[in-house]
Amino acid sequence: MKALRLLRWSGAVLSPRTRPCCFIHQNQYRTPLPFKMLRPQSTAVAPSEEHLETEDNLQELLDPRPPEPTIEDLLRKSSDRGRTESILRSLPSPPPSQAHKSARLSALHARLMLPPRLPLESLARCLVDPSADINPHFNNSSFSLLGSDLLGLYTSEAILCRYPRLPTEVMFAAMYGYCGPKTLTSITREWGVEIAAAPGGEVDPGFLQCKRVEAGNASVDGTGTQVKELPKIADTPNQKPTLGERGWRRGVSSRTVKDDYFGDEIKRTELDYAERPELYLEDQQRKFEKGVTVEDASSNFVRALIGAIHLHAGKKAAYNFFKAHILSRHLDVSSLFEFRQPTRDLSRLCAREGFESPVARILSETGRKSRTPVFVVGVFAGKDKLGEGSGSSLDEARIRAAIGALKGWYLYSPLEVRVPSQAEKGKEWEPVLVDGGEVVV
Amino acid sequence: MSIFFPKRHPANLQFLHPPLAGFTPYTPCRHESSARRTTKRLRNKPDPSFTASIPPNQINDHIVFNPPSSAPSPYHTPSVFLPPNDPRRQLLAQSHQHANPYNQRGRGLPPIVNNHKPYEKKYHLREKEIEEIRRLRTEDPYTWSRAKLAEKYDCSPFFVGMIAPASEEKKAEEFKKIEQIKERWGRRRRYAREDRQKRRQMWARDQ
Repeated sequence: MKALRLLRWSGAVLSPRTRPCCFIHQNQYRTPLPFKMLRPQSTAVAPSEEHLETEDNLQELLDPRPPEPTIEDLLRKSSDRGRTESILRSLPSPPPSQAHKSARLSALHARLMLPPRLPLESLARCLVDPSADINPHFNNSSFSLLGSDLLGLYTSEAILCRYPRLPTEVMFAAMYGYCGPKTLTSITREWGVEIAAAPGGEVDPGFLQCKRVEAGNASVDGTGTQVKELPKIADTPNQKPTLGERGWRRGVSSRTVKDDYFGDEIKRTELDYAERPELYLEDQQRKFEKGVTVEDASSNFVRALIGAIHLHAGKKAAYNFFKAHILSRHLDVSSLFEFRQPTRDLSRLCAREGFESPVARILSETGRKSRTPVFVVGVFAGKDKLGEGSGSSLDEARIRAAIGALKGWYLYSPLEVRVPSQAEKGKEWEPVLVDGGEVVV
Repeated sequence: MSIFFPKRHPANLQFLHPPLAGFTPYTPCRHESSARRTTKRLRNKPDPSFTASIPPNQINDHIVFNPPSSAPSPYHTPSVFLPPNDPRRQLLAQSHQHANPYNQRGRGLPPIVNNHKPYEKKYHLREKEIEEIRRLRTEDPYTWSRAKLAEKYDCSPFFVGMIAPASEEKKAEEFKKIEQIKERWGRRRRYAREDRQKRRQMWARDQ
């Protein structure tokens, strides 16, 4: 793939019109927002309305009015400290001009060794959650959407190419381990990103800005009742029908096709948003009112940062960042397995692959008649040992040996792998191993 | 009135006279014989796997690879499981260390864990008999249990359960019976059974 020079047209990419669900942003431009004229200095580019409303445009050309002063102009002009403070306080999140004044933000930029092409303003925008600032030009929603997809793509291809025989359930668990919300939250803590007590324009832009959801054990209006004891209102009304109503089972194959990259159900797809744009606004509004958990805000920040790096510094920088911060984390994939009937699975596997049927044989034992015996059992297909296990009873050792053999099969890893996203024009593409799939009994 | 006379002479009663330092030695002596034996025991020779193959002039010029015996790692794929185009397959076949020891002549395989004959499937039941089994099961599930039908038709109870599953009422009744039996268990038996279940779950997770 040819390396694209993103910097030239990054303005066009940065506009939130990259997906069908984001067409609603255009509607937002048309409807007059309170901050629309006040806050034009976003890192996003607004679609020019000249093409949309030609008559108004003509009017404007005929009767030119002086442009309204922006926040930045006001901040520059005001010499009074109190006045500056009051302007900042009126904003939901710090203006982009404040990014260069924050030592915290520069330190974060340097500490993460972010590419110099990623400006501090964009880094500051990554730290603004939609719950703090609902305006999509000033929050990280568009970045995190892109970053989430990149993260899913890079992680899934890394896992699948490294372990091509991994069962789907284990694959989902590994995805959750590498880029699940809990992992991303701990990454945020490890990077030293702190959360602002409350969002606002006067807050240092180096803090993660989000409106926190009320704690479950907080009391309601000074009464003894706790928030979690209140009758729950459905988080997302107008949801899809539940499992029973749909009339089909949610199996592993349906999870691969219909659900997100952790195999979790998607409440609303992008198609839903594209068909009914008001749903998106509704969701954003609810988040803005109710607040989000620290986990949500932190994972959105990491995703947004990867998206921002991809946009400003290119694919390679984003992939390197991903490798350095996500893929470098150690995850023991072999501990994610759980088998129900390992011996049966193994004999099915051997029949499928054309090996002799597996036989458990005692390799060594000690203290058979004592209180603490130890047996070492190997599973053999013909003369080849497939797996080995030890236990305090013959049954335990046999089952552990079968599990060892199955793990040996599933955790096969090719020696040299080039993931699809790293395919370059110069080198010839070598296809990765595609396995026959897991054992289905 | 009787007068008590001690039977032993006071000079013979040890507790009246604390032992003198000169007569009883407190510190044990280290004799030549024991020291020699100890040194001899401590003079361990290294395992032959460390030294046997190394010529004496290269004694400090090699890497010792002598891992302790431990459970095999699941990340080491057995050579049978490697796909045919994997280079490791050829390397393992050439390696002397990783050669299959059971391929040597005169080397038998270890004993089998459950040394009973594997159950051989006969495939002798036809459509007619299967219909008959189903009829019997539905008519009187209490007389014609799985085991009885399996005995009559010379097949496995599992097969009977597969082709003619019990009705819901029968299942519920059986579950009720099991529950009644479980209620009669004491604390000890219940805990032992629960622990056994938990242990089995731990095997499944390979913990």
